Amino acid sequence: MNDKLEAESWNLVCFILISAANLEQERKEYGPLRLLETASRLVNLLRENGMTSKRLDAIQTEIDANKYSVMTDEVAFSQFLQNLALEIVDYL
Amino acid sequence: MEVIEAIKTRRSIRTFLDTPIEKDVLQDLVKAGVWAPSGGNMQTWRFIIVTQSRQLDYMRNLSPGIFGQPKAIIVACTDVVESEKKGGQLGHTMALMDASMAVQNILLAAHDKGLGSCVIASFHVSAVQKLLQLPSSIKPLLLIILGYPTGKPSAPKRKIEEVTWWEVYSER
Repeated sequence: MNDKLEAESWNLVCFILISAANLEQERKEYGPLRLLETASRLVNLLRENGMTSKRLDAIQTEIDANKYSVMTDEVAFSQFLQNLALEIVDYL
Repeated sequence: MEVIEAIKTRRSIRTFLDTPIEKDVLQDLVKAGVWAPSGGNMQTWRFIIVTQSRQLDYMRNLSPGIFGQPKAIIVACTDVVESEKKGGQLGHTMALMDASMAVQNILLAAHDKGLGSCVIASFHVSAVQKLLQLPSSIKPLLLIILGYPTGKPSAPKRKIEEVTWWEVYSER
């Protein structure tokens, strides 16, 4: 078994499950934030295990540059989410 | 650092250098915390300082609000039994406020020492209690993640005029 991959996967699973448990009580914007963070961490995990692509790197860069706007500008964060969805089409 | 300068220049920091924090520095932060006011001088706050690498990893697993790799976490807790005994029906509410004031002291002390910090409320309370072997009477309220910062984010706007009234409230 690839111990490193197992440990990194486990960390990601923990993040997702604890987020699921807590999001019932948290502000609704944290739901999308946790999903963005999951996507970013998944890209990291893949990269550290030898799998990269331009579109994965590009999407991660977008996510990490904009995710914290949820703390300061809800309108901008919402727009970012919608723009990200449209950007995905360019990479299909 | 002047107090008002510390208040205005502190930021929530989420990315850190791989530089360890000395234990006496962390101890100084908690010392600053316990100088906060507390309702009826209850002082029902309790602090767990986490520095070991593996334990920090486990804390990250249980705390979706932690971004980045902090070098230490101070877990600000309250003794729920003491809070109710000393504060009656208001005890728990007062304990929350007291712990928050202590946390603010810690944030400013950390900033004064060149450390970055961020307060985290998104963590699984029961799971953290289990990990840190806390009895059910000791409830974690807030996490403070700490480390030497990699940068300084800009400050969100503060709206002093919109949140202040003199003497009485009125619609604007």
